[in-house]
Parts: sequence; structure tokens; C-alpha cells
Amino acid sequence: MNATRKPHPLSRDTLALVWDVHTAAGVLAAPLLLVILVTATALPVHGTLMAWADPFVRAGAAGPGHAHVLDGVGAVPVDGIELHLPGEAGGLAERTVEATDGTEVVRWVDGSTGASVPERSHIVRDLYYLHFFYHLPKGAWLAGGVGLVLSLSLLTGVGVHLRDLLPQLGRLRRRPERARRADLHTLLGTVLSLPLAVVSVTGAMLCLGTVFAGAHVVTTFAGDRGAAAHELGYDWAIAEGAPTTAPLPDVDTLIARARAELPGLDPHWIKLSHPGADDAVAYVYGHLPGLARLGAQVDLSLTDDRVLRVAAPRTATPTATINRWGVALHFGDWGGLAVRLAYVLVAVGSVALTLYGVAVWRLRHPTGAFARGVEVATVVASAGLFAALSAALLSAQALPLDLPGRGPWQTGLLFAVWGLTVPVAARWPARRATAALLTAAAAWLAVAAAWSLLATAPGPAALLASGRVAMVVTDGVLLAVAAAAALGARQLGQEVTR
Amino acid sequence: MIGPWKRRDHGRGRTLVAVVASVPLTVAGSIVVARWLPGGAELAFAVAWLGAFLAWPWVVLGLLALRDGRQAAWVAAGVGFVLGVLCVA
Repeated sequence: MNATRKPHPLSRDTLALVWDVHTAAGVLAAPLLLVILVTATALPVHGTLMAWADPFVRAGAAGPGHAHVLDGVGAVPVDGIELHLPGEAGGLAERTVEATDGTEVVRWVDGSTGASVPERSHIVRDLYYLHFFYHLPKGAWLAGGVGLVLSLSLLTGVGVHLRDLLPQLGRLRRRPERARRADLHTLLGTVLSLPLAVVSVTGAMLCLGTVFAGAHVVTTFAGDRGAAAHELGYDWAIAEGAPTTAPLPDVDTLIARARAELPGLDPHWIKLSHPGADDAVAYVYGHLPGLARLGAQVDLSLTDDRVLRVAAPRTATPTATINRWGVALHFGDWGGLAVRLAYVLVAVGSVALTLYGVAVWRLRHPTGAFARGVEVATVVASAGLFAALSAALLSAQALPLDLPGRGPWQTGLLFAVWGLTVPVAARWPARRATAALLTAAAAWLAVAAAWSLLATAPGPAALLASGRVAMVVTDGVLLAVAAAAALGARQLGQEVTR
Repeated sequence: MIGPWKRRDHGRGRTLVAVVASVPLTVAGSIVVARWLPGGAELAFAVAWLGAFLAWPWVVLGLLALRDGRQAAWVAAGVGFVLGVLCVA
């Protein structure tokens, strides 16, 4: 059979080098990469999860508009007020008030009535923090480094299979085990190489961009930070005056002013910086209509009617355009639901790709403390994190709503469960540990969905009647994921006993 | 051990050089492109900005492809010196 295969385009030595780099980069980065990828399976639909996790948010707003979204704010000077307006929240705003001493108070607010509740779920915050390693000092740099290593692994992976990329697509041997794992790894890698290359490079740009920009500021721009910021698209209007208790602006008016500059702007984020100061600024960020819904922002003066800056594709420098596309391509928010679901599938496939890659390597290195350590870390970062996130989702439904510090309790539970998966992974063989963790995750997810369906108000009938279909669909998806995890655990369990 | 580290050609040296030198070399290369690429400053900076993130894996592979750690160190130092001069020229 080998006689019919064409020679590899790379020389023997080069191929050996490329192969070794592919293996080393993949294996060493796998545990950290899996943390990024496992969280990436949920982040494209984070808005839906955010709404699902709190009864007030899942019900949505009583009416349109934001007339009362700032009610109760402004009695004392505040440094800033942020409003997140996720579409999945049904018209509600997540309002963050930043005090002058640096503390923040986060509440969900119904802009039509002024009704509000404190932020009671940290599930999406935890997902983001884990994805970018924000729990660690300079964690985003580590995440960016992992993105670069992933790009190296992808490049060398393509190099290894340069001879037979297309034929590999049709090859999926069932036996022996090593061939099955290798074929699955290669198949997934071939299919996912392009989207993974995009998210790895754009992720590295997001995480390392500010550091990299610093090098250009002192050289290319001769210390001119303003010129560099303009070129990069970061030249926001800055408010430096002292905030006061002057009346706060009407948010609907701000949105209308932004839309006058950028027709069709769908606002997702508004910030009032130093409200009441002589140079107070409002930033209105959102997506523009079109085939690719790119981000755009209007900076407005809060003391007069001036438009301070319009950051949109039509005004962007080439580098700002690259950054705008980088953000859109990384987060998958350039399209609608179909695009976001495609990103979920890419993330799920990438988890499998990484696990099969480590599994292939482990079969070649069945002994040794290093190989076992990588295996344990891989199980903890994949099935262990999945189980911990499932427990956090259950806690989002089951913890009493009036529990003080409910959000931090969720975060604590997530890390406690994740920590407990370490001895499970260390004590048992990988398959048995993975099966046990998947079983636990399946049970927690199923209970979370059942709790949401049966015990959380508003119930499914009321949600469907009010058009909040996504909340009920989320329960169904969680039940489906629980069933898939249970099936996976069962199959792994059978392989253990076989 | 894994990969080139198990071979006899002192792959650890090359790897060390590649890990340590690839980032500053890539950044310096990006600065040189931004300063010297013809076609306008805006376009040059855009090429330099995106190019650095795309080029880093190739820089790593290039350093690893050298004969051993000593050669990789000399090449990294030489290229780094030239890029450094072009950065400040």
C-alpha cells in the first residue's frame, strides 16, 4: 500500500521536526487549551445562559424603552455607569454602577418600569474568566500564549498531513484503537483547521494586542500614544473631570443620537463616563446591520450635543478594521443564531480533537510520570471542568435567590467541584475517571434543567406565552447534553469493563 | 520525553532558543515592517500588526530547523541585531 503513496513534500528531517513540534505543542498546551475550549462551547450562547440563570431575567422586560433604567442612580457622584443590553435578556439591562472608590454594584433593571434585582448568577462571568484565565494575574497573556501555541500546532498538523489531507477525510478505521484515535484526530483536525486557525490567531490578538501595541508605541509611533491609539481604533474620547450629581441623561435619547450617526445600530453596551463632569462622555457600542454585523461605537458629549467620535467600518484605519474583524471572528457575534451555533460545534469538535490527540500520544507513551501527569491534567481540564460547570448551572437554579453573595457562592462551588475532580482523575484510570465525571455532569445538568422547568418561575407555559421560547429551548438543550454525557459515560464504562 | 528532546542532536538547545527568541524576533520584525514597508504608513502598520501573529509559528519552526542550539542562538542573535538596527535607524 505504501508503494502507491506519493512521497511527502517535506524532507525526512523536516517532517520529523514538524511532527515533533506538533506533538510537543499539542500535548504541553492541551490542559490549558481544553479549559479555553470547554468554556468556548457555552460562550457563543452566553446571553441565553445569562437569562436562563435568573428568574427576573428569563421573564424579560415588561415593556420597551429605557426611561427608568437609571432610576435610583446619581444621588452621589459615580465614576461610571455601564449598561449591557443583551438581546436575550428581553429588553432588560445589566447595570453596573462604578463608585469613585472603585467598587461596583451590578443589577438587572427593567428600563420600562425601573424594577431591578441584584446580579444573582456568576455563571457567564465565570465562563469568561475561565476562558481568558482572568482569575490569574496577567492571565489573558497566558490565554494569548495558548492561542499562539495552538496556531503552531495547527500549522505543524497541516504540515504532517500535507501529503494526504484530502484522502484522510474519508479514512476512519475502527481497529486497532490507536488507528481509530489517530483517524478521528486527523479528520477533526482537517475539518476544523481553518476555523480553529481563525479563533487562535484572533484570540492571541485580543489577549496580547495591548502588550504588542506597547512595543509599537515606543518605536513605530515614537512615543505618540494618541497616534497609535488612532491607528488601532482605540482612540476613545476620555473623560477626566470630576463626576457630580448633575441629572443623568435619557438613555433612549443617547441611543437615538447614536443611531443618527450610524443608522440601524443595534446597541449592546452603553457607558456613561464621569457623569456630571464638564467633559462627561457617553459611549454607545453596538452592531451594524448587514451580512457581517460588525461592531461600531459612537462617543457622545454629555454636556452638549457634540458627537466626539464615530468608530465604524467606514471611518476605520486598516489596523482598526483588522481588530474589528478579529473581535467579530473570535466571538462569533458577526452573524445570527446559526453562526453562534456553528461556533459551538467548532468548540465541541475542538475539544474532541484535542482529547484524541492526547489519547494518540498517550498510547505511544503508556508509562512514566510525565505522561500520566498530562493525562490527569487533560481529564481535569475536560471532563472535570465540564462537571464543575454543570454543578454551577445547577446551583444557578437551586441556590436560594435571596442568598447573600449568591454569585460568589456559585463561583466558589464551581472551583470546589473542579478541585474535587483532581483526586478522581489522579486515582482512577483516565477512562474510568472520565466516565465518572461525565455521569456526575449528566446528573447535575438533568436536575438543573428539570428544576428550571418545574420549579423556577416563570414556568414554561408562561415563557412560551410571552415569546421567551429560548428559555424553554435551553432546558431541552441541557437535557440533551445530559443524555449525551450519560451515553458517553456508559460507553466509556463498557470499554473499561471490556 | 517527547519530540526532538529525545534525540541526540541536543534539541533542548534549539527549543530553548526558539522559545526565548521567537517572540522578540517576531516583534522586532513587525516593527521593521511597520517602519520600512513601502505603500503608506497605515497599510504598513496593518501588515505589521496582523503579520506578527501569523508569522510567529514560522519563526519558531525556522529556529527549530537549525542544526543545534548554538547555531540557533547565533542566527537569532544575528537576525535580532539586524532587526534592532533597522528598528532604530
